[in-house]
Formats: sequence, structure tokens, C-alpha cells
Amino acid sequence: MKHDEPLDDRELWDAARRLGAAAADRVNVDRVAEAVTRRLREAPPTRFGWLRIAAAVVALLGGGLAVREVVRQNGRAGVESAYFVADDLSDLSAEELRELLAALDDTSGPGGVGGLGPPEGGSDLTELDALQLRAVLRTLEG
Amino acid sequence: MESMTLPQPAGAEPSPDAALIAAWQGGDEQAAAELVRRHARALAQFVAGAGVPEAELEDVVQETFIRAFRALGGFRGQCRFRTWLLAIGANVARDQGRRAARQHVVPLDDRILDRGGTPHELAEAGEAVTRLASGLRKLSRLQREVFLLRAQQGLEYAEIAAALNTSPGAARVHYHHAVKRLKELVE
Repeated sequence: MKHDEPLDDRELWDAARRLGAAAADRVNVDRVAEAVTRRLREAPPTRFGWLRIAAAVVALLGGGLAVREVVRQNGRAGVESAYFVADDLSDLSAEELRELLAALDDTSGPGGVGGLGPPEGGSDLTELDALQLRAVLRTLEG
Repeated sequence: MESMTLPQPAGAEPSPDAALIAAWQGGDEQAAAELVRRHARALAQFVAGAGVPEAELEDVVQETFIRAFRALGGFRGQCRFRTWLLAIGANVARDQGRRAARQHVVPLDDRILDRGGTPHELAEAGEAVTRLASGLRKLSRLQREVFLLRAQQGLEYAEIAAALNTSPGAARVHYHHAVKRLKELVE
């Protein structure tokens, strides 16, 4: 194969199977396993975490819609700042708040807040603390 | 390309992951460790192919497993555990890429290239892998992930579709577009 010749299908597949193989072999799997189990031990997933998150999604979406409806009917701004459902989420951990934002993204479609990751070109949710995550949720409420 | 023999499917292990998942959910910490040992290398190769530098590889693999274990309640067996893990890994790799971009770090590390083989093989294969790595950086995220899941991980379109929440037909189209673009890009 010369540099200026296109790769054929077989070469593409062979190259794909070699791509990253050596780096992967150098990963210390036992060290990763130990780190993962230690982190899981330190902060185990809550048994009913998904239920709490689902309830929070409903509360946030429902609260946001209700506030918008009141604002629309009363025709005055400022009502929306009186109460934020996000302020009731003080018992959720930062990890749960991230999952909540991901769940909201699922319900809000492609223009949402980023799925398991952050939005394209946006800030990284994994780098925000709980306080900052609540602030993000408040902005989503309107 | 369609008649080409696929590599060994990712989920063909003799002992089912489902048993290990159930054991971990029942409190067996070693079951989680075994799942990590079982899938970490394939995951590492996949995210390395997606552009994660070697220096970040262990952290990305670790974070992927943490996110996966935390989200395990939502895993309904729509695809194999490894495929589901790779899809989460793609998201973690994307997060890492954004952080690297903000810090002006070159995202694709040439150390992801395999350097094994005789000098002649190394020169030939190294050339192809280098060109592929370069081409992959220019694909869309979806094309890159579908191509890697298909060509590197040996997954069928139905499995890829389930992992990426798309249809098998769409996965096939993304794959063929990826191959077509790669052939253009690496010329």
C-alpha cells in the first residue's frame, strides 16, 4: 500500500481492529476494577434513585408549565420568580441532579440539555457542583 | 464489505453478563469487578479509536463503568451489556473531548496506534491505522461511532441501532457513508 492509494474495505477493517488495540492492552484492568468498586462502595446508587429522579422531572416540567400558564393568564412578568421547584430538590446529590438533567433532556428532545453528556458547545455538567446544577435547573424552569 | 467475516461478537462470553449484573445488584462487589475485567479492554480500544488520548484512557474507562453501574436500573437488555457500555463510553469520550478542546489539548493521541508486528508489517499497518485515525477525526460523531462499532467491535446493525437509539437501516446508512467518506479522506 502506498500513501497515495485509497484504502480498500479489507484494509479499513484491519486498521479499525488495530486502532487503539495497543493502548487498550496497556490499560491496567485490575487497577480500573479496583477504582470502580471503591467508588461504587463510597457512593452506591440509591435503591429508588430513579423514582426520585422521575418524580423530580414531573415536578419540574409540571411546575414550569403551571408557572407559564399563570404568567400567560395574568399577563404579568415576575410571577415565575416567586417559586422554583428546583429549590425543593435540595436533598438530591450532584450525581442525581446530573441524572435529572439528563432525564429532562430525554423528555425535551434534541434541543435539550445534553443526554448523558452536556450540550454541544455547552458547559460540562460533570464539572458542576450541586449548587451550580440547581441553578441550571432553575433556568430551565423559566 | 457485507460478506466480510465479522470479528468475534463482543457479547459471546460463555458466562452471561446478566448473572454478574444480578449478582452485583444483590450486593456482590466482586461481580462488578468481574464485569470491569471482562469489558474494560474492548471499551478502552473503542474510546481510544474515538479519539481519547492514552493518558486519559483509564479515567474514561473508569468513568464509563461508574455511569453504567449507576444507570443499570435503566438497562433492559435491549442490547448486550457490552454494547450498552460502549454507547455510554462514547458519551464519556465526547465529554473528555470537550474538556480537552477547552484546554487546547490535541484530542487524538498517536499512541493509540498499534505498534506491533515486524518492521515491514509495522510500516504497512501503521500507515493504514494512521490514515484511518486521521480520517475518523473528520467524520461526524455518529458516523465515527457506527463505523467503530461495526468494523472494530464487530457488531451487527441491529445491535448498533439498539445501542445508539436508531434503526438498523439508519445504522447501515451511517456505516456506508462513513466508509465512503473514509475512503475519500484517506486518499
